[in-house]
Amino acid sequence: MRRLWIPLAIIGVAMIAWGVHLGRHAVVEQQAKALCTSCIGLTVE
Amino acid sequence: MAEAGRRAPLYLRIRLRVQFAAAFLVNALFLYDLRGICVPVLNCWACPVASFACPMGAFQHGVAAMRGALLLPFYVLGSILAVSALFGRSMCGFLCPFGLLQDLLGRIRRRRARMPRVMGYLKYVILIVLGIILPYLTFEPWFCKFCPQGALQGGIFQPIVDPILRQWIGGWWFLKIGILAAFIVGSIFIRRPFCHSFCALGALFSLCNRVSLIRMHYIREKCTDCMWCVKACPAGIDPRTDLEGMSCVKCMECAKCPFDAIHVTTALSACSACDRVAAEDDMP
Repeated sequence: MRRLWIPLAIIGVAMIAWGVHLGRHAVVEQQAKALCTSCIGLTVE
Repeated sequence: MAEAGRRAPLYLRIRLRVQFAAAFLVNALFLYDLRGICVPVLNCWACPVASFACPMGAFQHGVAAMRGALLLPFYVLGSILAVSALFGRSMCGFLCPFGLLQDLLGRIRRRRARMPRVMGYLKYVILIVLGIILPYLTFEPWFCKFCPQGALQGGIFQPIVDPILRQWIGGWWFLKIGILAAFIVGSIFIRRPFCHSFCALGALFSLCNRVSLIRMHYIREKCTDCMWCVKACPAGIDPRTDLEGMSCVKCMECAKCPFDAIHVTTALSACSACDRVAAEDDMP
């Protein structure tokens, strides 16, 4: 259990790298730049 | 017997300053724009000055996208997993702006109640229902719809200055403001109620709390049951039994224990104080 953080961190970094490879960071950036009406609590009709 | 009144390490003494610095740095769009990166704290991306992406918002969008593309949100999950494997919930204790707000509000009233321990499981229910199931079924970020951090950072200021946004104010906006008000008032009387029982991101981080690189140790032999740590804990847990548990935000306030009974180490180095106590116990 003491060293479990090592494989978890490696898996996490690998997932980030795979996500970047798939271009997910660009999708996240696009979502972050769009106005999140749910976050503000607005009702857009 | 340990000596009482030792001086806490520097990283424990500057926690409040670190929290303020983090709250500023994650909301510094005028300095840099890193909105493709998920910041490991609950910082709403609807905030006009947010310079990072909110991991919880991105996670829900990723879950919703799974339905069409059958693709796990690798990027967001990886960001959360890597950070939690290294630090556990320390992000909640040291960097989260909403945690800072609750800590500051908690200073108003000295004696504050604690959430019942069982309420700590509620955040997992919220994560599963509002963070996974409903976004998957409806393509909507349901946790964001209730998140008080969004109301605080984006919901108050933007509709005031933007007349177009103002015309979209409806019942949901008032509900969100009500939730925010409830947590603001609640934080004065209860220790970090949102972090303890409602934060879905905290629920994700807590999964690695016990196995992260940053570790905390409780040494029973040094403890005098003076309750100092219980009174000091901003998350309202009992560090003697729930240290590194699901509701421990690893703020390490309890590590200032005057009897040296709680230690912060890393998984790389053994707890020297624990070893010393064990060696003393083994002596004939």
